[in-house]
Amino acid sequence: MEKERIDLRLIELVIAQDRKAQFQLFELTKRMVYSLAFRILNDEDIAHDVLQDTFVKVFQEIKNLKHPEALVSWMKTITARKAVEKAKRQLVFEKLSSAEDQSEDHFEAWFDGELLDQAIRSLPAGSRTVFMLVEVEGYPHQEVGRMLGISESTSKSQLNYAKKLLKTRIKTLLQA
Amino acid sequence: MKKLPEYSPKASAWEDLLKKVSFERQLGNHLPTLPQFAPQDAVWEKITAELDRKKVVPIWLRWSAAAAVIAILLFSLISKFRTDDKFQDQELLSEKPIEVGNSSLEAVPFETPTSTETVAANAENAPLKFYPEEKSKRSIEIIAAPKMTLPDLELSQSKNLSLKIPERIVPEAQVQKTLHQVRISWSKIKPGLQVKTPFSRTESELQQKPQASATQNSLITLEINN
Repeated sequence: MEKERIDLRLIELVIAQDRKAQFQLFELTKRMVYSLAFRILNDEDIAHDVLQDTFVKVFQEIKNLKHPEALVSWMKTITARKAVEKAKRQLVFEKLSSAEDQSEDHFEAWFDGELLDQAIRSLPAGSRTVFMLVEVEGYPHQEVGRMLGISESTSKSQLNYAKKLLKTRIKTLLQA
Repeated sequence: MKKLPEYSPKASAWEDLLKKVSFERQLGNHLPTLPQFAPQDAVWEKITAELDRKKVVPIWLRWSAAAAVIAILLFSLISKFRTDDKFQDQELLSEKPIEVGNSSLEAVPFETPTSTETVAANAENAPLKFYPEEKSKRSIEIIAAPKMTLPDLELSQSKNLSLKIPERIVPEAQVQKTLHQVRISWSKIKPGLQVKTPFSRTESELQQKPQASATQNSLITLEINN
């Protein structure tokens, strides 16, 4: 894992603005950062912009990082916030009807990460962002609501909606 | 081939298997190991270019900000000195009303008389005094002056006009000998009042050449050149 290879010595060199160390950190973490941005945005170009902005901010502000061991979490936080900033304009939170709420909850199928990834990327932008922030990155609903400018209850209902959609999409993908 | 004995699993094995099939459980297993995507190779060049650009900009910005502050300070100082000079000039002109004989002249707004209007009409319509709304450093006391009544004078439309003011006898004793010269201009381009004091002239010269021409000439002539 990246965490194991990012040792304190490397972080010290990055803080000292050593270009080689910066490149090493970039190589170790670029996939993690880009994948997170790409899954939230589902747009390669904007995800590249987020990747660039994230690393520029990381290299400029790493000297202010109080706990170097939290570097990866800090980088993920920056990425998520930058992606949300970019996505905010296109985020639409669909109003959920009661019929969708009562939809079938039974699920009997085996799926893998590849299939799950496809299903996640096919979700609507609003519910996809909430799903990524809560389920993948572990943000509480309150903070997600603050970040996206929605209420806590909207965040919860969007997550449930995302999960229901995921089940449907996975079943469809398995049948295809 | 030896046949090995078979063992039966637990009765709950099927239920356990169904539990693992549950969506939430599979989700929990696969989310941390979602496939990762690689970005384009050109991103690193863009990041380094951005980092280098941001290194240069702050220094440039600091210098330009400092230069802007200095320029603003200089400009404000210069403009302040200029306005102070203007105020001083205004005070010199308006500090004391100019005395001619017993009457005092006070500043009135200048209006160009039309051909049909008379000087007398203007004198009646125009406000007699100019009251400044805010007092300057040395406030001017407003002195009530008797209203001047002047005979009606008509201005013809010719370019050069001469205005004859009838004789006004002023006792010689009241005429103060002074070094000051007063020039009043009604010119359209640069109207105004100018006070000059030729300090090179001595008191003795004053005695020899008395200034008060009003005593010598019984008629004061004003020439208006348009």
